[in-house]
Amino acid sequence: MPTIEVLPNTTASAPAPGWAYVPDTGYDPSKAPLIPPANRKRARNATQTTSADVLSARQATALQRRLNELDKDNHRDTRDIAIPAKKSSGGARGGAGTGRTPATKKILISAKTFAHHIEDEEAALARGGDRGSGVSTPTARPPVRASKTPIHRRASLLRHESSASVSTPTTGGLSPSPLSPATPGESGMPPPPLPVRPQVLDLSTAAESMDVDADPLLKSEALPMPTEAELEALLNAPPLSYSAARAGPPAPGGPPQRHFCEMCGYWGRVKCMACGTRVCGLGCKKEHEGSGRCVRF
Amino acid sequence: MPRQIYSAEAQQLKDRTLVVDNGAYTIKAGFASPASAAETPACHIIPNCIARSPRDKKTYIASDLAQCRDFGELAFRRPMEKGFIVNWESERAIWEHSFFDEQAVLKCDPHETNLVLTEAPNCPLALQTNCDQMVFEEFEFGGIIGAWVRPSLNAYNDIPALFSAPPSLLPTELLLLIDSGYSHTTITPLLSGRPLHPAIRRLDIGGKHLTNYLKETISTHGTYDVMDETHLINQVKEDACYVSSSFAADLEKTWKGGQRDAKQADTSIVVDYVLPDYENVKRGFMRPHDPAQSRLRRAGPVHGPREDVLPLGNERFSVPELLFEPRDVGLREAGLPELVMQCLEALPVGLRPAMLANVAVVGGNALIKGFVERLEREIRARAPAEWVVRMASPEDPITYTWNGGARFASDRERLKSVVVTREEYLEHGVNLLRRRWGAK
Repeated sequence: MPTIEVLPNTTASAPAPGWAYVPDTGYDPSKAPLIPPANRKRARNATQTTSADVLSARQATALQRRLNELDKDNHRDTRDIAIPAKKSSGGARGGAGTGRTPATKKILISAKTFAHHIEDEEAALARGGDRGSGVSTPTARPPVRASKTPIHRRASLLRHESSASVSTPTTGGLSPSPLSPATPGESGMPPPPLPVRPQVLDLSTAAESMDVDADPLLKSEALPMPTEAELEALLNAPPLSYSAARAGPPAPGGPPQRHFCEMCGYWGRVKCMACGTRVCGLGCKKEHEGSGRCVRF
Repeated sequence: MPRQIYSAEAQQLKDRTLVVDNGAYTIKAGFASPASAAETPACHIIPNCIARSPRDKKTYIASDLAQCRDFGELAFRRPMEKGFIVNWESERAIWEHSFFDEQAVLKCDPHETNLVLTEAPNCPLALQTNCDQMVFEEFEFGGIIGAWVRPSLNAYNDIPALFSAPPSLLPTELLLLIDSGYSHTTITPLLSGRPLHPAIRRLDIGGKHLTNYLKETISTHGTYDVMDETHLINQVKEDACYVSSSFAADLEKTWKGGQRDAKQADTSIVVDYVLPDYENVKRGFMRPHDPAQSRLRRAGPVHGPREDVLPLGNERFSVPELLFEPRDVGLREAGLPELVMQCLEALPVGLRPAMLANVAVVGGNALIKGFVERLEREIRARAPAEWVVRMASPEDPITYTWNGGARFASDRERLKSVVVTREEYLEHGVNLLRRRWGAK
C-alpha cells in the first residue's frame, strides 16, 4: 500500500546547499526493498523484530523530529547571531569575514552543516573505500560494524570462552595491577612476543573445547591472547566512519521500551483514545485533555 | 618516503606549547610547562560559544560570558556540531578572542607556539583537513601536534592513581575510556595511548540532550515554559539531577497518587528549586520541598517578595536515565552499559578482561551523582563473573583530558617525534599530517 504523507518542511531534511557525487550504478540489490512483496510473510518471520520495533513512516518522521529537537543548541533557530566586529586589536589579523589564503577563505564562508559533511563522507565511501577527499588509499575498509552483530548471538560464545578459563592472570586477587602479565605491551615499546594460540571460532573446535569445559582438570590457563601481529593490525586499523561508530541497537531479548505519562512522568499505563499519548491515570488524562495538547484528527 | 619527511627542518620545535582541548561546550586551554617546572600548568575553561542576550542587547564572546548578569533567554551560537568544529567563522572569532587578543589571559604569538589540539573520534576527513588548513594558513601556528583522538591524551594521566595503585610508566598500557561530554558519549579502548579504532563506539546522548530533555519535561509537567532558558535549565540539571540506583522504586516514591488515593510526595527526592530573577536572586538554588507553601501559592497571591519556585520530582532522575536507556526518547541505541559490552566484542578475546579492569570515566556527565556507581554495577551484571570490573572517575573529569595533554606536552623529546611544523606543512601539504599520524 503506498504511503501518502506530508513531508516535513524542516531545515534538516530540506534540500540544502552543497552537493555530492552519488554513483548511479544501475540496479543495486542492497538498495532493493527489504521485504520483497512476493514473500512478505516469510521475510517477516525470518527477522526477529517484534511489532513494536516496526515503525510506520509517520512514526519514524515524528521520532526523527523529536531527536532533532533534543539535539538543538537553542530552542529557536539562532543561526543569525552575528559575530561582533573586532575592537581593532592585534592588527596583524585580516578583516572579519575574509580568510588569508584561498583555502581558508573557502572554509570560512562555507555554510555546510555537519549533516552535509556526513552525506559527503557516505557518498565517498559508497564510491569506493576512501573516507573523503584528500589522501587516496587504495585499500578498501574492512566491513567492521559490530553494531550489526546481535549481542545475544555472541553472548553464548563470550560466556563459553570465559568459563573455559580460570580467570584473568592477575597478580593480587581483587585489584589487578595494570602491569599484570595479561597486559601486552610495555609503554612505548612494541609488545613482547606472546604465546601464539590460534583463535578458534569454527564449530568443530568449539565442540571440542566444550568437552574440555566438562573436565575441570583440563581447564585452560588463560584467555587466548592476541598475537603481536594481530595487535599491530588492530592498532593500525583505519578509523571507522562516523556512522559506523554509532552504538548498535539494544539486544533483542532485552526489556521492552518504557513509556511514561506525559503529564507527570510516572509510568504511562494508558493511552489517550484520541491521540495515543501515554498518561498514568484518569487525573492526568483530564489534565491532558484540558492542556490543549490532545490533538484529535 | 618517510625518510624524506623526517628531515632536519622537522626538529625546529618552538619553545611554547599551547594545549587546547576544544570541547563543544567549553574549551580547556593552557600552556604546558616542562616536566622540571615546579608549578603545575594552569588550565583555563573558556565557554565555546557566542551568546546573545535579547534583554540587554549585547553579544558575549567566549570568556566575556562571565560578565553577563542576566542569563534570561540567552541564545547561543556554537561553532561545534556533534562534537566537531564545523563553523570556523565563529570558532575563529572565539580563538582570536581567547588566544590572540591583547587582553587575553592566554595571549600567544602563534608563530612561536606549538598547538596540541584534540579532536573527537571518527571525525570526517573533510573536517580534519579544514582544521589543519585553518591552524596553519589562517592562524599560522608554528607546529601542530594534534588531530588526535581526544581520549588518547588521557593515557598520559596518572591513571593508576585513580585505582589507588602505584604509578606506572607513561602512557598507561591499557585503558577503556568513557568520555561523556556535551554532544555525545564515546567509548575508546586505548593500548599504550593509542586508540583501537575498530572498537570505538559512540552513543548519541550527551549533556546537551539531557538539558533539552529536562527543558521539555519541565515545560510539559509544570506551569513554567522554560524552552528558551537553556542556561538556567543547564544549571538546574547540574544542581539537581542524579542517576537513580533503583529507577522503579524512585518513580514510585515521587508519584502523586491516583485520583482517589492521592499520596504525599516523598521529600527525600522531591525538592524545590528557587529560580533566579537575576535581580535579587542571581543564581538558582535547591532547597527542601515545602508542600504547605506550594499549596498556599496555588490558593492566592503571596505577599512580600515574590519568588518563583520550581518543584522537581521524577525529573531529577528520569533525565540522566537517558544515558542508560536511550529508548526512553525513542533513540534506538543501546544504553551505555550495553555499549561497553559491544565495544569489548570488537576487541580480541584476550584483551577484554584487562580492559574492563581499567575503566576511566571523564567528561562533564561524570559529575552527575551516582553515574559512575550505576554504570559499574550494570557492567558488573553483564560481564562474566570471573572478570574484575574496576571503574573510576577523576576528581575533575572536565579538565582531565587537558591535564593528560599538558603532561604529554611536558616532554620535549616526545613532542619532537610527533610534531608537524609549519615549514613541513608548507613543503608537503595537508596530506603529510594524515600520513604522519597514521590515520588514513
